[in-house]
Amino acid sequence: MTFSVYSLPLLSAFSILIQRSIRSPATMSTLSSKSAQEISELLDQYGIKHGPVVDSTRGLYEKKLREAMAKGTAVKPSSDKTFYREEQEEITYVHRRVPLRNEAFMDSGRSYTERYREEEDESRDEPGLYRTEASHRYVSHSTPPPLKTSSAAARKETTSSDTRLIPLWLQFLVFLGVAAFLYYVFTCMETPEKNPFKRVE
Amino acid sequence: MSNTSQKHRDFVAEPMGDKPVTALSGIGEVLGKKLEEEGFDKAYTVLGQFLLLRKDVEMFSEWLKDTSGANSKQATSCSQCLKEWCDAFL
Repeated sequence: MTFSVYSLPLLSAFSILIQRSIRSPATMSTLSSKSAQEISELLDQYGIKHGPVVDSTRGLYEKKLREAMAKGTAVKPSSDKTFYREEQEEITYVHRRVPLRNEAFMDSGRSYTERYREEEDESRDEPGLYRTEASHRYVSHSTPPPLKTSSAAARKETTSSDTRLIPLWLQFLVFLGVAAFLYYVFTCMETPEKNPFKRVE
Repeated sequence: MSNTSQKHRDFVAEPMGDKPVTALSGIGEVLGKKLEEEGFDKAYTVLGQFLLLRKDVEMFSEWLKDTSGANSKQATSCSQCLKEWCDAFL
């Protein structure tokens, strides 16, 4: 009988201890026996901004940790995940854009303006990826030189045709027509070799 | 300016030098004595603690309450005083 009387409080105390350890993975009871480095790491885990763990600050930090453990606040790994996701997004963004850039150079000037409009729309949709825009621009600046040498003349024509109202061939034609007319007038004036004063005689 | 006490303004106006801990805003005789018992006899030692806590006003207030038994108002007053002193001279 006495055995059961003693075992009951023992059991309850034991269960409480187990509960405590389950609730907080880092043991609350041994906080004071941890090294300063460990305390610092624990503070980082609970997202508590802190200075050096020294004699005068240790008590305060231990108290803060106990409060945080009781609350069960968020741990570090979650923040890492978001950072990784951001990086991934960045990569896919650049990959998607590069082929579009090459296309623009191959096509006429029309698609050039289209691409600019697309760029604007995308920047509005995803303001968070501001960095990628800048990195994309860096990429774009590196690609033009090799393309420029191969299709320089074609590009010049396409860009110049984009700015003129009247197509270039028409301008050349008109110029030639006017030149021909003037030459005809000039030759007409030159051909009469006879004496202009013929009628007088 | 009207929110700060004369003590606060006096402290923030010049380098603290060897001023006693009671020169800090919010720290009277009782709190001063308690801090001296803990080893913080000069204002610069309390400044040292403030700097160790990375000039965090909330963290320092909590420390002050725990160490000296200051109430919320006193602790905040002292923290603000030190923060402004740091902004001016540190």
